[in-house]
Amino acid sequence: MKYFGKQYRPLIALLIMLVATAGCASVAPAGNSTTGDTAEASRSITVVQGPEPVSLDPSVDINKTSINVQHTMMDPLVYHTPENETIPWLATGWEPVEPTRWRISLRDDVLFHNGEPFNADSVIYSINTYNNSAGEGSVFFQYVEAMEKVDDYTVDIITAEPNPIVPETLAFLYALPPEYHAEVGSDGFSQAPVGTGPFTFSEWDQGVKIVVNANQEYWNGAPAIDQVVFKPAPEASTRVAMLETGDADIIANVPPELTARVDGAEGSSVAEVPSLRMVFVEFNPFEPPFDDVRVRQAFNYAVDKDALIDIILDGHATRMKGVIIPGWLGYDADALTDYAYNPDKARELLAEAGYADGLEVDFWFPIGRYLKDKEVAEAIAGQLQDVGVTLNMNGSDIGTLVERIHTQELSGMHFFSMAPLIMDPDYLFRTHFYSEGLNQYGWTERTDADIEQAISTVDRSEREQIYRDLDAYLTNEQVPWIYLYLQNLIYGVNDNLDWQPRPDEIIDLRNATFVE
Amino acid sequence: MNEASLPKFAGKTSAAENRQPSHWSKITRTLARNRAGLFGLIIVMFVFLAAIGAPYLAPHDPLDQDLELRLLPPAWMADGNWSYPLGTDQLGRDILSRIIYGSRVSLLVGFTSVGIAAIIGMAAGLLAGYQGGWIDDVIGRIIDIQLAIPYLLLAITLVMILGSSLRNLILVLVIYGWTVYARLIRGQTLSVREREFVMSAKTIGVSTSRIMLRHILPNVITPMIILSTVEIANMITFEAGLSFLGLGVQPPTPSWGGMLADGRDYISAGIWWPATFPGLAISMTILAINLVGDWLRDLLDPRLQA
Amino acid sequence: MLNYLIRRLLQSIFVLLGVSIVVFILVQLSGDPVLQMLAGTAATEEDLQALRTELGYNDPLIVQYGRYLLSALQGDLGESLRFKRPALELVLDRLPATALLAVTSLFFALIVAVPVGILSAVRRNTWIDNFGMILALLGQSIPLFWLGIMFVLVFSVELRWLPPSGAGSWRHLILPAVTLGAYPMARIARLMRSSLLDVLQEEYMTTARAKGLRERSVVVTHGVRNAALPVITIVGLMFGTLMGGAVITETIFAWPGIGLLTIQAIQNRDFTLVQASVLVVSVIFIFVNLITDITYVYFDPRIRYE
Repeated sequence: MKYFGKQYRPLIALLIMLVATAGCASVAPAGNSTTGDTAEASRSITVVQGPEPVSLDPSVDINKTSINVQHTMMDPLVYHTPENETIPWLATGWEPVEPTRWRISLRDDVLFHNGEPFNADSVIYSINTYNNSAGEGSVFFQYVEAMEKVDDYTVDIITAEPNPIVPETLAFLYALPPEYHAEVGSDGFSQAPVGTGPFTFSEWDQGVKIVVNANQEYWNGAPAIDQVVFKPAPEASTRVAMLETGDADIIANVPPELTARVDGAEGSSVAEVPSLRMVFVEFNPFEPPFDDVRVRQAFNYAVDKDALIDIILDGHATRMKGVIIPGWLGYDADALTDYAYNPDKARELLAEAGYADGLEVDFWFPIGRYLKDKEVAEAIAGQLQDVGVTLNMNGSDIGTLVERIHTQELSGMHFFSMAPLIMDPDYLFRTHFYSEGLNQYGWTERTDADIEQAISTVDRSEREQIYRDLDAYLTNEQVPWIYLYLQNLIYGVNDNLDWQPRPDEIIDLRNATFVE
Repeated sequence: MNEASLPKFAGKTSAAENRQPSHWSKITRTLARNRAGLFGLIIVMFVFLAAIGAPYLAPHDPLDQDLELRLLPPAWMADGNWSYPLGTDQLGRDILSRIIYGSRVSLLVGFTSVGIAAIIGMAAGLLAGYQGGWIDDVIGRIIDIQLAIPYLLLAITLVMILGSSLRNLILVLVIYGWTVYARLIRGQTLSVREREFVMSAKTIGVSTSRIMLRHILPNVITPMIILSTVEIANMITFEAGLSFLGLGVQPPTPSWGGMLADGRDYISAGIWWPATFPGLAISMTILAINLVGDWLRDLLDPRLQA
Repeated sequence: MLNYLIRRLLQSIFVLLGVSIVVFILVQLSGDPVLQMLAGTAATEEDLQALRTELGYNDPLIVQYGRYLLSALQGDLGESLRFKRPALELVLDRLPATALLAVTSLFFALIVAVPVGILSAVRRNTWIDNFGMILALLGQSIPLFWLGIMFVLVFSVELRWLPPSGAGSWRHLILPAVTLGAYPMARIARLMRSSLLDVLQEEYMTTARAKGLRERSVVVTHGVRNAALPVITIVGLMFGTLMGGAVITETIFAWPGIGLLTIQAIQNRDFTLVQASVLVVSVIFIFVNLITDITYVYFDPRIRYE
C-alpha cells in the first residue's frame, strides 16, 4: 500500500467518473449510427443547420430552423410560393363573406399520420392552440374574435376589425391533430409530432439529429426523398466540412468567404437566393444627436452601402432604399430618396446641425448573427470616422442585443434586422413603426395613423397607395434608419440533389428530387 | 493548469537561504545552459517592446481601413505590397500594425489579470496559512467552492451578463485565477511557518504582519513567479477562446484572439494570412512564456543547481 | 474515522450551499426576469409590478434564495425559459455525452503524455526529448478552437479519415477528444518529464543504481512511481479545464454535450438552464470527490486525516 497514498485520490475520482460514464454512455449519445459518412441508403439526405430546434410544436417554436423541421411533417392551410403568392393547400379556398367574416373551405381527403381526419374541427383546435400557446406561435392569430364551423369542411373566421391579410396568416397555421395533441400536450407533441405532411416523425436524438421518413400516403403524392435527417452544427466551417465529406447534403448559412470552397469541392455547389431579411441601422430619434433629422440624413450619406455590399459581403446582398421589400404591395423605388454615398454632403449636414467638430455616438451591434455583422459594423464605424463621427462600439450576442433593444431605450443607434413572418407590408411597418409594436424606436403619429388605416382598408389598391406614401414619408422625411440591404441566403447543396432555396428561409423539401 | 507546480514545490523553498553572491552571473550561466530559455526570453522581450513602442513601430494606424486594399497578400507574394508587409485583413487594415498593437491587449490581459489574481491570492494564502483556525477554514471553503464550479462556463456567463470589455475580461480572469495562488501560498506558508527562522522571529516579538512580509513572503515568491508564467499563458489563450465565442475585446481594438477568430473562415478559401499571423503571434508568445518559465525554474529553484 | 466522515460530509454540504449561492447570484445579475418576460408587449409599470409580486420577485433576496434552495433540493431547478421543459432534465440528457468526451480526452492525454514524459526525461537532451517537448509545447500554445478547425480540415476534409462532426460512433469521438485532450496532454507530458528528472537526482535513486540495479528497472520501479504523484494530482484538477474546453470543442464538432447546451442557453439568455447546468456539474464534482474520500478511508483505514 506504499503508493496508495492520499495523492492517488484524483486517480480514483477519475476511475469513478469513468465507470459512471461508461454506464451512462452506453445508453446515451450512441443512438443508432445508421446515418454515417457514406449515405448507405442513397435516398436519405442530411440537412445541417446551425442551432437545434427548441420544440417541434409549431405553435410554440417559430424560429426558422425549427419551422424547417416542422414543415416536413406538417402542412399549412395556405401555401406560400417562393414568388410570394398564396395558393390553396389544406384550404381549398377563402373569401370574405362579410368584411369581418372570412369563409375558409378545406380539403376533404386528408388524414393525419395517426389516422385522425383533417377537418373544420382540427382548424378550430389549431387556431385555439396557437392563441393559447406559451411560446412565440401566439403572435399570429390574436386578431381572431371567434370561429364557426359551417360544415365538416368549411369554417368561418370572425375578426373584430376588417382584416385583409387573413389568408397571409393562414400560411403559418400548421394543422394539428386535435385528439393526439390534446392527449399528449405540447411537450409530448414536440417529442413525437404528428401532422398531415409529406414526412412522418421517426426519432429525435437530442443534440444529435432529428429523423423523418417519407409518408407514402401523402395526399399530394409521396416525396422523392425517403428520409431526411436534420443535424445541428453551430460552426460554419464544420458545416462546410460536412458537405465536403458527404455527411451533409444541404447546409444552411454559408459565410461568403466559404462559398468558393463549397463551389470548388467536388460534388457540391452554392445555392443562393435574396432573402427577406432586411438589415439596417436604427436610430434612437428621441434624444440627441438623432432627434435632428439632418444628423440622420448625414449618417445615411456617410455610409457607403455599395462598398459594404460589394466588398465586405462580396455581392451577397441587395441594396434597400425603403422598408417595403421589392415586389411587395406598395413597393416603389422611384418614390424613395437614394442616399448614395456622399461624405461631403454628410459633413455639411452635420455642420448645419451643429456638429462641425464631430460627435460621439453609441453603436450596438450583434456578433455572429447576420451575414458578416461584425465586419459590417466595423466598416460602418470606419466610414463614419471619415466624416468626424466616433462610434462607441458595443458588440454582443444577438440575445443580449434584442433584450437591450426591447427592455430599455438604447442610446445612439443599433444594427438590427427584420425578416417578416407574415408576407405583407403591414408586418414590416407594424413591428418597427407602431407605437404599440415590438420595437419602439421608429413610430410617429403619422405612422401610427397610416398603419391603422391601411389594415382596415380592404380595397387592395387603396392599401397599396397608403403603404407607398408611408414608405416615401419614412425614407424621404423621417429617415428612421440607415437603410442598408437585404442579405442573401447562402446554402451549400450536394449536386445529386435538385432543390431550390426560398427567400423566406424555409427549407422546403416537398419538391426536392434526386438528379438521376 | 494552475495546479502544476504545487506538489513539486511543497516543502522545498528558500531562495532566501541560498542567496548566490552574484545574481547576474547566475542568470547568464543558466541562460547559456538553457538555449530555449534564452530564445523565449528574447521573444518575450520582443513582444514587450512591440507593446510599448507600438505607435513608433507600426507602419500604419491599426484602425485605418481601406476597403479597396482588402485581403492584400503578404509583401513577398504576387500582388503583395511592401507597405503592408504581412498583408491586409478583411477590412483592408494592415495586419502587421494590428499584430503590433494587439500585443498590448494580450499582455494587458495576461499580466494584469495574473498580477491582480496573484496579489489577492497571496494575501488570502498568507492569511490562511499563517493564521490558521477559522480564517483558514473560511478561505479554504471559498476555494473549494470555486474549484467545484466549472469556471469557464461561469466566466462566459459573466462576460455575457456584464458585457465584453477589457475590464470585465480581466475581472473574470481574476475571479478565476486568485484561488490558484491562494492554494499555493497557503501550502508554502504552512511549511515555512514552522521553520526556525520564523519561530525565532516570533519569540523575539516581531509582529505578525512583519513576519509575513519579511520572512514568509520572500520564501514563497519563487514558486509564485514560476506559476505565473503558466497562468499568463493560460489567460492569453483564454482571451482567444472568448473571441471564438464572440465575447472577445470590443472591436475595433485589435487583439490576437479576435483577429484569429475573424480570419478563421478565410483560411480554406486560400486566404491564410489574416488568421495565420495572429495565430503565430499567440503560439509564439505562449511558447516563449513557457520557455521562460522553465528557465526561471532552473534559475530560482535551488535544488536543480548541480 | 466516523468523525472524519461526518466532517467530510459537512464540508461537502457547505461547499454545495456555496455553489448554490453563486449560481443564484448569477441569475440575479442577469437582469429583471419580468422585464424579459414582457419585453415587447405593451405592459405598463403597474403590470410589471403586479407580475413581480405574483412571481415573488419583490420578496427579499434571502426569501427568494430560500425558495430556490428548497425546490432545488426536491430536484426542481426550474423550467428552461426557452425549452419550456424542466432544466434538470435537459441537463441530465446531455451530461453523458460530455462525460464521455472529457474522460476519453483525459485518457488520450495520459496515454500519450506519460510515455512521452518518461522517455524525454530518461533520454534527456536527445532528439527524443526535443521532439517530445516540442510536441508538448505546441499542444500548450495553440488555441483550442484553432486546433479543432485545423483537425477538421486535415483529418475530415483532406484525408477523409474521420467524420467532421456529430455523435454516434467511436469515430465521431476521436477528433473532439484529441482536440480537448491536447492541452492536458501537453501539461502532463511536461510535468511528467520534470518530475521524473527531479526524482532521478534523488539520493535513493543513486543508491539504487549503486546497488547495481539495471537503469531501466531503477527508472520504472523507483523513478516513475515517485514522479507520478504530482502528475496524478494535476489530473484530478484538470476537471475545470476540461469542462471549459468542452464548450468550445462541442461547438466546433457539434458534440451533443452540456457545453454546447450551456453556450446556447447563454446565447438565448436562458439563465435558468445555465444555472442548472453549472449546478449539476458542480454537484457531480463535489460528489465524486466525496465518494473518493470515503472509498479511501474504507480501503485504507491506516491513513490518518487531521
